[in-house]
Amino acid sequence: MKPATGAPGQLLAALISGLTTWCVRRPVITLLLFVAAAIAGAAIAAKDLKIDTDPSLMISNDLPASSAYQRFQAKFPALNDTFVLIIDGEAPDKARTAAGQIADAMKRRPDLFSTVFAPGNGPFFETYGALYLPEAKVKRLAEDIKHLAPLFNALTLQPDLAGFDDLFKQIAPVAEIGEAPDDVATLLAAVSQTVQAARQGRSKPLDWEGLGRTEPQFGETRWYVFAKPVLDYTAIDAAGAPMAEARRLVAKFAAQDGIKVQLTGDAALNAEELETVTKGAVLAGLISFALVTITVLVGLPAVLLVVPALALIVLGLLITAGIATLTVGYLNMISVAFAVLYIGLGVDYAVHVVLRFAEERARGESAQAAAITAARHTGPPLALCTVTTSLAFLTFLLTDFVGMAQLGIISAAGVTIAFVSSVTLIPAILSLLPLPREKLTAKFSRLRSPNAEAAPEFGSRLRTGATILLAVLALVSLVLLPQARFDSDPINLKDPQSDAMIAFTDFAQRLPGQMYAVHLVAKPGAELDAAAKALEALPEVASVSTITSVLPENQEAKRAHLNALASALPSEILPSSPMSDKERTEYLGEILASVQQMAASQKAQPAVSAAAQQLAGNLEGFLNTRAEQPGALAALESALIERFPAFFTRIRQIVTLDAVTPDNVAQGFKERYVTADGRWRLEIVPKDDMRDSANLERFVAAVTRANPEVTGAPVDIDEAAGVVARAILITYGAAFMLVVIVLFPVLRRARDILLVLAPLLLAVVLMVGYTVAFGSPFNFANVIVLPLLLGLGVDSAIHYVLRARADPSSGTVSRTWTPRAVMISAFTTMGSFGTLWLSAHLGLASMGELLCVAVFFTLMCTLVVLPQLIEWTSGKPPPASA
Amino acid sequence: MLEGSKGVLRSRFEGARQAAFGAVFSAALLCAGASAASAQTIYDSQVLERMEFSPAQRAQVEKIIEESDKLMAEIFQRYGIDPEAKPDFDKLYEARHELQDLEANEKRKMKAILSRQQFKYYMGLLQQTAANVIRATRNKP
Repeated sequence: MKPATGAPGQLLAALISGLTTWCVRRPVITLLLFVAAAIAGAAIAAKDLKIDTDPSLMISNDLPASSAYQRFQAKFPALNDTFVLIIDGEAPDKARTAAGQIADAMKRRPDLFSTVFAPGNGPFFETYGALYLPEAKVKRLAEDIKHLAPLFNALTLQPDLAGFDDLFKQIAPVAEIGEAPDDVATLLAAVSQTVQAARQGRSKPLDWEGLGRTEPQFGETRWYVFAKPVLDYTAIDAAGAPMAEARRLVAKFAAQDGIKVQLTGDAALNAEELETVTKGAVLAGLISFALVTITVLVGLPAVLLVVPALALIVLGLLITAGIATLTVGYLNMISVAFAVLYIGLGVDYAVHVVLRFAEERARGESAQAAAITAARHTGPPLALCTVTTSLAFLTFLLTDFVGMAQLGIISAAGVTIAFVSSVTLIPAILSLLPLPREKLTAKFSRLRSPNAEAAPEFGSRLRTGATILLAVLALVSLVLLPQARFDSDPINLKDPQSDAMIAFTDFAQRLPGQMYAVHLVAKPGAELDAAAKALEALPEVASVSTITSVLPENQEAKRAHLNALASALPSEILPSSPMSDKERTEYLGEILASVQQMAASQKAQPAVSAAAQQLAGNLEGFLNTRAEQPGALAALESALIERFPAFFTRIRQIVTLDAVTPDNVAQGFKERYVTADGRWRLEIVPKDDMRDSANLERFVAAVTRANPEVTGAPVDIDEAAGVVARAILITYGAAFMLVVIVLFPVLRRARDILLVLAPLLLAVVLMVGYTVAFGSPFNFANVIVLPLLLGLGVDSAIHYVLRARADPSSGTVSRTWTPRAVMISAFTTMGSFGTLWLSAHLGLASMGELLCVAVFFTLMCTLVVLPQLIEWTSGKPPPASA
Repeated sequence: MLEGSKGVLRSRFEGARQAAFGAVFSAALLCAGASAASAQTIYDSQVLERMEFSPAQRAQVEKIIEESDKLMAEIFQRYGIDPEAKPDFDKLYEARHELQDLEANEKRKMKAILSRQQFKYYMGLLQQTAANVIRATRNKP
């Protein structure tokens, strides 16, 4: 039995044999060395290994579009890493109030939120809000304010009970003749409540602003709060604390009747994605470990043989995690699945060595000798697999696909560790296991019994049929190949059922184009105008806007309506004169007389009359029961007047408004539209649906052709798609060449090299065809399948071809445990990767889907097509058991 | 995500109306405290005749009332109000904003020169005059 082919193979076999012999003779030391390395790896990973699912980390930051987008983001930090809270209310004012309260609560936590912006709330909107009304409503507002002149005149002249007396003396004769409007009744009722509270010894300040809320004031029932979380990059979940506080606020306000609060925004989406991915990856890791264990238990000829396989998985995984921490430092959206990947790949190595060991034991060798022989025979193919798999992954280092290159480093380390473990740790453990040789011999003899060849003709026909079927499918796939695409939109990877994604979808449905707007920064003036004009002319563009889009429209006309009132209203509140309780009592008596006059009038409107009667009753009651108590009169006066100054100031603000300009617009808008050095952001909104990659490509091509300085997420996405497409071509080309270079010294024969590559190529074609036929495009997560397919496909074929060449004593490979090892490997890999398919995260799920499908195609091509090819090329029919 | 706020912004500030009651108080004030222009008419509060002033105050009050008279006469003329005729509610309602401005200015000026007691009395005269005018609009001829 030749362990390997050619001089390099023999040299390698000798080296492996020496290493294995050393370990087998010192099994405890070997085991302890691995345990120590695993503990060190676990400690390093636990301390420093982070997870960052930011899609921008997947592609090199040095690319032109990516660099430009980063520079843009640095100029407008308010646009990135934000939480967006969407507040919907049955009543518009309720929603707006809730939005303001949420914003205030967030502002009280500067340790968690660096900036908070709630359009429609805050000092700017309190001042300039009126200018955002339609002109007709501004005109009506101006008229309403004008009608309040008597009230302002009376109370600014005498902001005390004397002022109220004057006001009521003016109202009384009008009410008496039945000309008082309904709002007089509202005022009387409000004053009555304040007096009633004073009568009961309580204080209920007169709510001046509330007097106008007799009908819904707002048309809009949806309001927003934008908050920038303070990210803690020393923590695994950088947005963890702000996210928790934002969720607390969402829960608190969502509990209110008629209010719905949703949390989204890129920071919330990323934080939720991190949670989903982490949970999904951990769960997938645990389930895959369980599934792999079960598969190995079923597939291996003795239960005890599971021990070395599991030891390789557990110890190797911890060592790999340590190396990942030291080399890359964090796990990205793809490499977060490295545990599943390692389990799937690592167990393959173990299965080959363990089954070969069982075979040698069944032939009568001692445990130690069988362990050494197994390592000597399987070591060279495994070394070759390690090199080819590592090359498949490491070729991504040649590209700008950084995320995959990082996984490549971790995976190359992982498979190297798996290989080293296979020829050291596993033989050491195998030599210690008390395995009864007779049981293995019995199982192996069943494999080689004549019954296995019971239906050679049927097996041959079946294989031929399956090969033809696969060939037909490959032809169909070739036709579909041009339609294969890469979906580089990171939003399509996220869990659609997560809270932030549901809110995002809701948001996007209302303003679809806005989510994919691109940007241009230009100096205001001719430069900006020319750029805007050129972009607006494009058929792919829906709109181009700048900071002027958030300025009120038709301001001059609106201000004319309001400013006309400035001279009609008092400019200030005069100081009130000190008043004794006796005077207060006299004024209250006068007020009571006026109110009674209104109440008694036959012509007064019923509402006015009823309110006047109620107020009169409360005034009488107060004067009879409370007025004598010290401080009661002053307290009532204070309750009536204390909120008037704020109300008056507000009205003065409205009637003296200056124009809103880019200089005095809300800071929240300014920091989103103007750079620190005064340049403006143009926001270019696409016309078509950007979830369609063809539309996105066309839009990006058009705007960048019109102005190469245009930047934004769509440009970045478009560039990333190009990078990945190029990366796949480069890596596949390079990987194939490198595999050939590595295989040539070992296999030496072109026929054998082609035999190894043919099933692989077939599997790749079928895989790509599958992505088109089943609408599962490649994305940042599932693109992992391509290098893996290369690595796994080559591995299986190498095992098969080398065994076919190196073990002529078996007659054919099919009568050995090599096909079984290939099959167990495939099932463990599918079981391992399949768990990812269950993930709520669409990226991980698609990764699991394509990996399972890829492994299935690889298995079919190795166990069906490869034997058929060997038969066709050698002229000897393999037995049916293959 | 910012962009979403902008599209709906314009319709959001209808709430600014909350600053106002949103309805008229109607012609709560129909006439100023002026008297000379409408001497011996229902609009005349007879402030100079019915109040006592120091010489310095009297000079100032006379000047204020003279100015008010002049402005009031202009307003009456503009709105076709005959000070001698029975008050017409509709015409006074039309002129109410200007009359209110006039009255407010006069009161502020008066407050600056009168004592508390004088000002209280002055306010009482005006209130009585206004009430008389309003009631007179409904009196039968």
